[in-house]
Amino acid sequence: MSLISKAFVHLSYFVQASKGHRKTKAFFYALLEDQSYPYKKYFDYFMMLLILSSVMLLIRGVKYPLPEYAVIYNDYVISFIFMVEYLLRFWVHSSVTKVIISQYEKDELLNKKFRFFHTLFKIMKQKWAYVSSAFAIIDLLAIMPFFHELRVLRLFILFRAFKIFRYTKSLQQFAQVLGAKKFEFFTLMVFSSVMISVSAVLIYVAEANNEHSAIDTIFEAFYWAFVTLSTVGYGDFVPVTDLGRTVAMLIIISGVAVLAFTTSIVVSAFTEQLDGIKEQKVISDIAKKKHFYLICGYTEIAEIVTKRLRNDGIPFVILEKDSEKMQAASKDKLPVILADPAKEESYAKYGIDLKEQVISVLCLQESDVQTIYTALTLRSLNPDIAILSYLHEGKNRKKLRLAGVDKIVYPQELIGVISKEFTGKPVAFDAIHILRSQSTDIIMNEILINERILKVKKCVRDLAIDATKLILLGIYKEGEFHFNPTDDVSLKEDDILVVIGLDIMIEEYSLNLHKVAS
Amino acid sequence: MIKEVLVFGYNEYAKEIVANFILDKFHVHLYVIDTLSFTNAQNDGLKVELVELDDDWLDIAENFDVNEVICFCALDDDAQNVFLTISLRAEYENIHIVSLATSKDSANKLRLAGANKAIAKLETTANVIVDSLEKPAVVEVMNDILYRNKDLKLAEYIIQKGSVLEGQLLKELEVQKRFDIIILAIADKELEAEFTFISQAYEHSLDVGDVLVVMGREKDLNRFEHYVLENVKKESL
Repeated sequence: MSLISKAFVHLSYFVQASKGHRKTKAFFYALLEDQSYPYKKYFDYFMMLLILSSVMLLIRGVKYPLPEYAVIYNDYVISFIFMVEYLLRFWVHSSVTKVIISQYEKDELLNKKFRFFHTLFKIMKQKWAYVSSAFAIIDLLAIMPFFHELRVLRLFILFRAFKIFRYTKSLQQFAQVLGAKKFEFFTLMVFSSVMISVSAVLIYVAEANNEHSAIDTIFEAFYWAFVTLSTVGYGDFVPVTDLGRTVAMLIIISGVAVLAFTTSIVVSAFTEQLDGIKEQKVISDIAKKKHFYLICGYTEIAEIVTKRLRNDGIPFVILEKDSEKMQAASKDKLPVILADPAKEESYAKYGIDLKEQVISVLCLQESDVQTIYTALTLRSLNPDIAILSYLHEGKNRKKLRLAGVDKIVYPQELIGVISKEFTGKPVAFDAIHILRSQSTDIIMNEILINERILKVKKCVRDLAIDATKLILLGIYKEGEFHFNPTDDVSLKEDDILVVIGLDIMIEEYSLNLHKVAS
Repeated sequence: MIKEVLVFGYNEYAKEIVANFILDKFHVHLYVIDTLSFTNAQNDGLKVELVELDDDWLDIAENFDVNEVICFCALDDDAQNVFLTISLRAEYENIHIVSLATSKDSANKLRLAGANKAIAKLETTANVIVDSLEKPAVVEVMNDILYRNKDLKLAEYIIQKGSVLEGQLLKELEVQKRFDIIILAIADKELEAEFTFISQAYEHSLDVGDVLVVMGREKDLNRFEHYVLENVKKESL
């Protein structure tokens, strides 16, 4: 191995191991490329502001001379900032050191000589991929006004306007949608170019030597063909010969066809991509949510559950694999994704973090078979996640348990036990049901005793519940319910008070507890 | 006092209802309208009768005291349940009917048809699901009280004439410390099913006919009942 390549490898290891280097690169990568990085949008706004000011100066400069500082700002300051941005993007696009190291290690493993030029070629190929991308070309052209002595290059300021695309997501999406129809647009372009070329040549042949005709050059002929095909038809060049007019009729007919074709491509591109765009929105919405319930399947029961969750202002996300049902949910303006909850990739694809974001999973699918499969998928992804499932058939209860479901809701059983209520104490049960159904302002709710409250409230007496119009039904201590606790029962962290009272009063009391503590 | 339980239909819901009542030693009578349910019930070792949906149900009055009967309409189809409910109500004005419905809408129809209580299966289940997510402690307490045979019980007392409680203000009762029980609500007998929950009713003075809904341990509830009954006796003597 030559000395130079040895030095390169050593340097690569050194840089790769440097914490500062890695941190800086990660920071710039996030700022430039990572949509989910919260400060990226401020960078984007700043760049848009630069572009806007630059374009405004260009417009102003057309008729009035610009002051010296504006010229310096426009030609040097902005260009310089853009150049730095361009170089940073060039830098973060791929890692040179990584390529060198991986190549070196690979060669080492195979007992081969380190191929320096091969590696260099690889690096250049990666960087070229960046340089040749449409965005990078626009970026580069936007820097051009730096060399303002070249008069032509002034126009490149206009490329700064194109740079706006980089910083606005919706415009990027628009380009992406149209990009999906590359083939159709290409076909259209070929057709139009052929039409324009043929008619331009024909009209040139027919009219160039006619003194009554305005069309004299081949450029004018092309210009006329283009204007006519687009159905704009300015009328500054008009054919006068019979042959010319025949060509005009043909090109007008194909012009209408081209226009219709273009419209239909754009429209169909959007209708096809609409779901994708909506999905993108849901994904970014999910990323913003800190905690939510994950609901698998949009069944009848899920419909009611989500309605209540929404009314209570509790965040949730629905996964539904059937597109018809997914449409129904999305029509109800619910956060829904078309994905199979039983597949592991669904969660990674939509950025659902089972550990950090999901409070618990509700399997409300159509059959126990699906539920079991989903529960097993979830368990394999995260052994600790809480899963609640709807049980369709009693005989599958054990299977659901084995699949790792923590809580099973079996409607038949529920109805069975509820039915007993109607024989004994109807009034008492009605009272409980009213408390439960939240149909009045009086509700039963829980207040969690946390560290903050504990600082000033040591026992039940300190809670001063007698002074309020609330009833302390009892305290949950380590899974055990202590009914009607006496004044000297002491409080511990994670105890749960179960209180009955007016909705707003419970809220206020709970707030007060925290306030006093601070 | 309810003694006889009539269950109509034999699906998974009905099975659970039957099982629960048999466990509590009620007399359960099963009626089905199709042969499949009939054989299923027989295979499960239950006494079952095959009937027609458009029966006139006259034999109910022949066999039972209508005031001691509760009917559960648990047929598969909501429309059938509505028809059954309305037929029963047409024949017996005072019979107690509880019907199962799929959704809230059919529950409303059942109430119109004359059911004393209509249980919307979907809504009930959904509520249980949401409650157990958001208020697990509350749900646990409720379940303990309502369904599990634990220490805690609900009881109701009607204020009799001459009762020691008559004319007292709720806040003066102090039963919470004295008997270790909690009065949850008062139902005014004149305003049927109208509840005043305790936190709104500290100034409420108790009248004859008010129903107190009380919660507590069984022995404390007995103690309270004893106290109320004894004091009535003393005054009427």
